[in-house]
Formats: sequence, C-alpha cells, structure tokens
Amino acid sequence: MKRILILLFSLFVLTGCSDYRELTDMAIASSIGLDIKDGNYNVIVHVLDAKKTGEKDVSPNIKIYESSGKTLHEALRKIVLESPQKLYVGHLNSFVISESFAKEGISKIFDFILRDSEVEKSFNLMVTKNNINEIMNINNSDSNVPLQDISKSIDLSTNIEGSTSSITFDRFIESVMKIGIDPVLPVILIKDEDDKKTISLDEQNAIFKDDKLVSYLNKDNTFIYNLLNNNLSSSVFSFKCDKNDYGSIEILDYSSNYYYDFDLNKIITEVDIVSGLSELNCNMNIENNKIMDEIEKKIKNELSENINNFFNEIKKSESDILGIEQYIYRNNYLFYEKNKNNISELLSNSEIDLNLNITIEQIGSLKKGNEKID
Amino acid sequence: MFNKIINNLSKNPDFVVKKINIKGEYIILLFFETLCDTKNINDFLLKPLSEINNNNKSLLFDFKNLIEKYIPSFKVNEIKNYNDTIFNLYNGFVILFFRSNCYSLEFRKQLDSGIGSSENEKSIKGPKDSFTENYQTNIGLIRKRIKNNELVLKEIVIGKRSNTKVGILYVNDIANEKLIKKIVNKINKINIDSIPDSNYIYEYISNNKSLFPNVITTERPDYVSYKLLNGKICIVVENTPSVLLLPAFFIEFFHTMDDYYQNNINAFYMRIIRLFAFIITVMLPGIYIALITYNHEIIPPSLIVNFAMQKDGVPFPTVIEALVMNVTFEILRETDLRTPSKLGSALSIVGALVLGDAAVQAGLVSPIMVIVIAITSISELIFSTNEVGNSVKIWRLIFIAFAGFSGILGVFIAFILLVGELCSINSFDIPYMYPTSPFNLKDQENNIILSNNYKMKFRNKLTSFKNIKRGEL
Amino acid sequence: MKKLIEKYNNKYIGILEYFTLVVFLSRSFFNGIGFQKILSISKQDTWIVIITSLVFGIFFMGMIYLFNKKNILESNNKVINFILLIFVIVSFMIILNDFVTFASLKYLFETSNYFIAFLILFPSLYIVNKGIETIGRTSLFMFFISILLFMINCIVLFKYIDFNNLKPMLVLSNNNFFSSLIHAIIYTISPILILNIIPKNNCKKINLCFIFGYIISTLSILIIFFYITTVYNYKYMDLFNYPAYFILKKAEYKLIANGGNVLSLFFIIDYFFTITIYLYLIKYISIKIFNYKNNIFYYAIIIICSFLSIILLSNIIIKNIILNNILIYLLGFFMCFYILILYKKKLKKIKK
Repeated sequence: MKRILILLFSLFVLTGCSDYRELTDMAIASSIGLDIKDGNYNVIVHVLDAKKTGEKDVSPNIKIYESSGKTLHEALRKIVLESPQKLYVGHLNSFVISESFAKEGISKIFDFILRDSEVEKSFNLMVTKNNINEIMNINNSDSNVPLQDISKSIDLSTNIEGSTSSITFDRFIESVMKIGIDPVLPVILIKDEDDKKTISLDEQNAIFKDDKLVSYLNKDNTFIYNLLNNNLSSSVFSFKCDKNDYGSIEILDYSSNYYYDFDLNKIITEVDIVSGLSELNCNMNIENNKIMDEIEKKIKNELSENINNFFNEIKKSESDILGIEQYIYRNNYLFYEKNKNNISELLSNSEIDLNLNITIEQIGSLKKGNEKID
Repeated sequence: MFNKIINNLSKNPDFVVKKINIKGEYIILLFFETLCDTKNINDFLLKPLSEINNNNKSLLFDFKNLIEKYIPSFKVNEIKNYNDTIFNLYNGFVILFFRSNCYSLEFRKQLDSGIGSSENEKSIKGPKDSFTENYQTNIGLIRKRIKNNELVLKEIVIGKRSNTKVGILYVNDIANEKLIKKIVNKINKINIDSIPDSNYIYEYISNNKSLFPNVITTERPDYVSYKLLNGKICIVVENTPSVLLLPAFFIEFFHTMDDYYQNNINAFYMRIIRLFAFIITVMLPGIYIALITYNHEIIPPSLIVNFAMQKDGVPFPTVIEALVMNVTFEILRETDLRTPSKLGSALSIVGALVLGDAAVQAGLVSPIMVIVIAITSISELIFSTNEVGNSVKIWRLIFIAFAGFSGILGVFIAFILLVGELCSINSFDIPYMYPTSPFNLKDQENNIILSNNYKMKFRNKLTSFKNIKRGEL
Repeated sequence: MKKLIEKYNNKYIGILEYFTLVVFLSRSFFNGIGFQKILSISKQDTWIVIITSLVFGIFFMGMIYLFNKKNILESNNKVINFILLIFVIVSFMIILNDFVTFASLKYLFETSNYFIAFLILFPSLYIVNKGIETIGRTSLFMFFISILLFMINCIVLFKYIDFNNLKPMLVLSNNNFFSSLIHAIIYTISPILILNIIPKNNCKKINLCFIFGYIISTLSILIIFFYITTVYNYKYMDLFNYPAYFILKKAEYKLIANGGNVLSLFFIIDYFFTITIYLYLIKYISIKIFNYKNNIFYYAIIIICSFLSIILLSNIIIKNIILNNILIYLLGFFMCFYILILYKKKLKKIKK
C-alpha cells in the first residue's frame, strides 16, 4: 500500500526532462563577431555544421548567421529566425570586436556573458580593423574554420614567438577590474592577395585603458612586453653580427622581474636569459672565446636598446600595461594612498634601471662558424 | 511390520524381495534395485550367506553376531520401527529379516558423475576440483582439507517428501555459537515438501529485502575450506553442488581464490580492475546519456562535433536507443546460454552482423551507442557466477532512468542511493560493507589490498573473534 | 568488536560516522551564503580571518564540551523540543532552497524547482527510513569520496595560483575583521550543535570527535578560500554568487573539457547529508512531541515543509532579506539557547 502511494505521488512530480537536448537540435557556435551602431547590437555567428557527409576525416563546415537586437541576448536569440536549431554557446572559441566598438568601451557585453552560467569564459578576444561583415563572411579561404585556426596561431605565437599577445575573456575582465594594470589584445585583419582573401594577424596589438581602446603597440615592443611578463616559453631573437648579415639565438630559459624603488622613483628591471646559438650567417670563428664574448655583447646592446624603446613608449602612453601602479598598490599601500591622483605623472618622470644578462650555453652541432664562402 | 512393508511397497516394480534358504531357515532381503549396488550385494552379502549354508549352522542362532563378524559391510543398524525401515530403504540400505529381527546394511549405489573440474568458477593456478551432486563426496572433499577434530558436522533432514539431508559445517573454536544456534533453529522450522537446491534454504534463513545476495554460493572446496577457517559457516545440501557460505561481505564478491595463490601486488591490481568493471557496468550507460543530452560542456570541443555527426540520421532519442540496445544484448546472452553448441557459430555471426554493421548502416543506432553497450555487457561477465550480476542489471536501469531525467546530477544522486542501499544490508547481523563502512584499520588487509598479515598471521576480526591468530590452536 | 556482533538494533551510531556527519554539517551553509558573504566583507585577507576563527572556535568548543554528556539536548520537556523542532525546520527549509537554487542555476536550468526538490528528497527519505545506522555508514563511505574529490580539485587548480593576488595584506579595518570573524564562527559552529540529540554508543570520545570534525571542516574551508582569493583577483570574485563553483570551471584536463560540473559534486555531498540528517531529526523530535506510531504523519510534515520552502523563498526580495540579514541572528540565537540549556543542566547537576 505504501509503495503504491509513493509511486502515485512521484508520478505527479515527474515533470522533469525539460532540459533534455539532443545534439542534433543544437547549433554549436564557434565564434561570434560583434559591432554596435547607434545603440543596435549587430551580431554575426559562425556555427559548426554537423551534417553527416559521405567522406570521413573532414573538418566541419561553417554556416554563417546574422542578426541584430537591442541587447546582446536578444540578438543571439533572434538567430533562430535563420537557423533550424537553437544556438549553444557553451563551446565558444573566439570573439571578435570591431575597432569602433572597442573605442567606446567593451564593458557593455560583460553582463550577459558573466550572468549566463552556460558560457565558458575561456574564449579568446580579438579586435579587428576591418568591417565585421567583411571579416566574418570570408568563405573562400583554405581552411573551413578560419577563426579557429587564427585563434590557435595567436596562442602559439604568444607562447613561442612573441609578436602577439593572446588573452582570454576572464583574464581580460580581471585586468579591467584590477587596480593599476591594463590589458593588451591581438588584432586581426583581412589580407587581400590575387582575388583570395584570408584572415591574418596584424603586426600591431591593441592597448586598452580600462575598457576602451587607446593606442597600438608594434611588434618589437610586444616581444618585450611578453618577455617581461613571463609569457614566452621560448623564442628567437636576431642580432646583427656583420655589416649586412644577421644571426639568431633561441631563448631557452629566462626569468624577468621588475621592481619599483619608492624613494628614488626608479623602475628596476632584471632579465636573465639562457640561450643557444641557432643560426650564424657571418664568417666567425666561434671557438675563440673573445669572439663569443663579442657576440654576447652585441646581443646585449640590441636587446637593451629594444627594452629602452619599450619603456619610453610606455611612459608616453596613458595606460599602464606592465602594471607598475599595481605593484605600488600591492607592496606599499600607504604610498599608493598618498599619491593616488598623480601616479601617472610620477611614472612618466621615472628613471629606468636595466640589468640584463645573456649567456649562450649551446652552439649546436657545428664547431666553428666559418663554412660560408664569400 | 514385514507385512506392512510388503503391502505398501510391493507395487513398485524396482522393489526386490529375496528369500534365502539356509537349512530350513529363511532370511529375507528387501531393497530397491535402483538405489543399491547389486554387484556388491552379490559379492559381499549373498556369497557369505550361502557359505554358511554348508558349514556352521550353529552360527545362525546368534544372528546379530553372525552379521557383525562375518559379513563385510560398514553400517549395520538394528531397526525397530516402521519409519526407520522406510527411511533406510529409500537411502539405499538393504533390510534383512530373520525371525522377526530386522537389520539394515548399507550398499549404496554411486549415482553421480565423478569429481571433475569446475565449469563455472575457473582458476588458473591451484586446485581445480569441484563439488558434485553426491552428499558424501562433498563432505569428504571438505574434510580432507581440514583434518582436525574441531570441524563439526551437524546433519538435519528436511523436506516431507524428499527427505533431503542438510549438513552444517563449522570449526568449533573459531565460529560464532549464537549464529550457529540461530541457523539450526531456523532450519529445523522449515516445513516444505522438497528442496531442489540450496537457494531454498537461503530464502528461509535470511530476511533479506534487497537485491544483493546475502550469502556466497560456491562450487569449489578449496574456497570453502579456506573460509571455514575464517569463521564462516557452510551449508551442504544433498543433490546439489552449490554450497552456501555465510555470513558474506560485499567485498568478497570481488575476491577469487586466485588472489590467495598469487603475488600480493597482482592481486591488488586485479581487484582494482574488478571494482572498476563493476562501476562501468552499472554506471556507464547512465553517464553517457547524461553527457550527450544534459551536460554538453564536459565533452571536449573536438569530440562534440564528431558525436553530433554520428547521431545525425538517427531518429530515436538517446534514452530509447540505450534501452533497446540493452534489451537486445540481454537476449543475446540468454540465447548464448541455451543454444546447443552446434548451432552456436551461425547465431553469433548473425548477432554480430545485425547489431554491428547493419543497424548502424541502416541508421537505427549510432555507432557510439553500440560501443558503450558492448563495453558494459563485457564488464558484466565478470560477475556471472554470483548473484551480483542479476542485481547489476536492475541498477543499470535505475541509473538510466535517473540520467534521462536529470543529467549528471541525477547520476550522482543515484550513486548515493546505491551506496545507501548497500550500507543498509545486514548479512546475519553483520554489516555488509564491513571493512569500509564501519571502518576498521586492521581488517583493511583483506579489503582491496591483500597483505601477508591476512594470509599468514591473523584472521578476519569480525567473524572469528574467538580465535584470531592463525598459527596457534 | 562484540558490540557489532550483538543484536543489530538500529539505535546507535558509531564514532567515526559521527565525525563525518560533523564535517558535512558544519560546511553546509558555506556554498550558498558563506563564501560570498565573507568574501565581500573581508576581501583579500579572508584567510587570516578563517585562521583566527579556527583558534576561537576550538577555544569555544573546548569550554562547552568540558560539561558535555551523551545526549545533552535530549529532554522530555515539550517546550524545548518544540523550539528545537522549529529550528530544525527553518534550517531545513533554508538548505533545501539553497540546494534547489544551486542545482537549478548550474545544472538543470529549465526544470521546475519541485522536481529538483523531489530528486533529492526521495533518496534522502529512503535512507532515513532505514535508520540512523545506515545514515552513518553511508556518510562514512561518501566521506572517502569527498576527500578524493577535494584532492583532485586542489591538484587541478594548483598551476593557477598566483600569490600576488593576496597583496596588499592586512589592510582590513577592525570593523570588517570582527564582523567577518563572527560570521565565520557562527556559520561553522551552529549547525553541529543540533547533532547532540542523535544517540551514540561511545560517549567518552565524543568531545574529541566534535573538535576534530570542526578542525577538518574549517581547514577545508580555509583551503577553498585560499584558492578563491589567489586564482583570480578578489574584485572579480566579488561579482559572483557562487565563487567556489566558478573557479572550478577553470579546471580542464585532456579528456574533460570543463570539469566544473563534475568537480562541484563535492558540494552536493554536503547538501545531501545535511538534508538527510535534518529529515531524521524532524522525525525523531516529532515522535517525542506527538506520539503517533504511523509514519505517514511525519512524511506529511516533511512534504509540507518542502513545498513551503520552495514557495516562500522563491520570491527574491524575501530571500535576500532572510539570507543577508536575518539568518545570522537566527543561528546566533540558537547558539545562545544551547549555552542556556547547558548552564541549566549544569546547575541541576550541582544542585544534586
């Protein structure tokens, strides 16, 4: 008798199953492009196509949908008017923002993405100089999923090359909310060659202040920025070893720290690099210790020059991408409280003190360097 | 009494009444020729009796002395009443009537196959003999491994029509006396007409309401003798090779005798794999359904498009697919048990073709579902010898139901429900999940790890609390 | 050992099982309210606050348990039992609503709240029906799994720790420090005082059990707060209402892309066992007040309370008022009530 009652009662309550979604009823979004014009959110979405084709081992195709609305959520929901399945943003890969929107301030999109618990916050953010419509509608490039490939190459380049700097959405918001540090975003553009358009990385990276785009950072400076922030795991640096020829070293292991001296208003940077000689295009006899010292000195001079250029560039701009102000806030709270209002003036008049150490520990398989014929 | 016997039993065609004439005196032999060994009766009973005919007639006057000294046979009983006579006749004894004295001698026929190797519980190393349907052989196989005075055997006859003998074996100074008294009391109260198998006795003595088994059923005498020395009690029933061992712990369904004959670390590794197989066979369809239909964020992004492409043409929802494939595999297993071996190969080809290729090509099921259900069914085969396999099938359906309604949260809550159900079982007043749930540090030596302390020094603390050290008497 | 073999009588609970129940119960208020409230009061110095609360808590419990006997809250006075019943019912309603909101936001977005409440009530009632000893054994088994999940969480998030997020240290004002300290102490200690009603079979080691359980649960909360404040900056974490779930979303390993939903099952275990113990206590105390033998009466009380909890607390305004303002006073009042009963019984003992 008791069991029948329990069964009857549970039948009343078994109204579950409303969350049941089959994979064939979902449109899996891979990247979203956003632009704002006159208060209207224009959204273009790349959706992965999951139709079974006859051939196997083919990467999925992309379907492109466009819609607009007064808020981001309304624009994303209106995609149902074009697509046969409901949008699923759980596996979002990249998010592209137009330059004009970035100059006004990105913080308008924070609320939707943070409030919805289904969206994963680890997608890459990118800025584009072209029109959003053009860059998201490219469909005759070599790969089926151009934005996913660009996202992967941004990650790789941050890790092993250094001329771009990738950032995910949660770290971006964290930088915006932290006191005293500003984020750097990569930039993509359309390369037009022989009637074929491809997406590629721009040579400049975008610097933000709080959430507005203010200026750009060129390639060499981005390399130094990645070096000082410990983002690189290895990289290649070229130096001039002769009148016309260059050589290059591979950075194997390094450590870099920067401090701020409160009394003397000085930024102290310490960089220790362990590297290996990878290519030498001048005729030099490396077995000689003096010539090796000369090479190390040349590298050191070039790198110091680059770092000094970087610091000069930063002192001129109004945003603080290295985070010296954050360092002051964290380590000397009272000093920060006293000088809260004129920190940027203080920093633009500060001196730079650089301690740079480069050692070449490996030279590869060749003994000498004089096999070239003039 | 003699007339009563003749009247009641003479309608049986295999009932033999033989009169022997010894110089005017008549000795009457009564026996069932289907239950007695007639060759032995000729050699050892009729021959000496006919020799008396020629020589010592005076011995006839002391008939009991004559039988006890001159006729080679073990058990000689003098019988006074009718019921004992019937009982002895049906147990393969020969009844001798002489001048209204009545004696019975044993000339039982061997009515079973010999001791073979075990078919259901196989092992790689170690002894491989198994119990048979003969009661004496079974008890003999146990006794020859524990050649000690403390091994006690109690016999009870139950069953109104079948009169089956039930033997209870235990080691007197290790096992728990209260438990033995309780079991003997309960068995004595059984009121039934026949006992075909030891499972009937299990139903009477345990008050188990859950699906998981309360006792261990086994066919191997080395297992029984090893566990008897740990303080367990063994029940042997005539005419069946399944022997009961009680009380049982849940972790013992994951132990085999191979563990005790091998290296400790090998045993540890194999036990972990068996536990893992248990978890897979109960939870894997549920977890798969939860991942595909409710919690898509757990799947890596490269796999999710792959899954979506595989499920493209299939019209059924995932839960229905899982249930249909499950039922189909159960049907396959049942047919595997029941077909004669000559038809086996054609059917297995049909099964593989139908479920493997053709259903996937026709777009009825997705290939991943076939893989999931195949792994589940193969993992279930580890538990086919004990009753855990039967309860696993029902719990798998419960997990599929919970996963189909509420995703991975439902799977986890169903897991807590399974643990709660297991922890609430008591096997004869002893907690079922013993070394894990009422936690005991010393007894962890035979839980998942196996250590030499258990094999060589100390017994299980809970069942053998009277006498824990192995070495001393 | 002989106690286990003697008649299984379903009345007592063992010491280790009791210890695991103390751990689960004292962490129960944290996932819903505790983490976000304490984080918003004491920002990046939360770990200092928790260590201080550990010291104070041990001192407080040591003082109380000098006078502890086996089942000190158990009495036949109907007024006391009624107050206890009200406290247990209110706590049960808050925790059930907490669980329903958490599961509804993070796991099952569109299912109705009544179904989620049924989903957790049905296995809880099944286990409560079997008796206190089954509750103890299940809780001990799930404690092992809870430790395993905790270790996996710590290992997976280890590479994201950044100690610089903890600076500037010790800039907290006194007001905030003490307010946060009192919050931490009340949230951890007040639920476990109600466990004194459950019959136990070994009263000499009870005090040790309580203090150990309290230490272990506070240490685990300390580690979770440490991770919350170092993986991300506290200003970012201040935005969310479930910060502990949020940092688990960052856990990813090769097979599992976003482990947040799986690794948060650690909190579901806490919720499940608090709800189970509260249901058992409702049944136990109601049997003392009303002496009906029929079980359906008690199940009816439980079902009415669950319905009320979903209906009443689904209004956001009422819920905010109760959770942010009233709850702390309610729990504090219960602690004072407990000390009062202790004092009264000690007076009785002295008079005798």
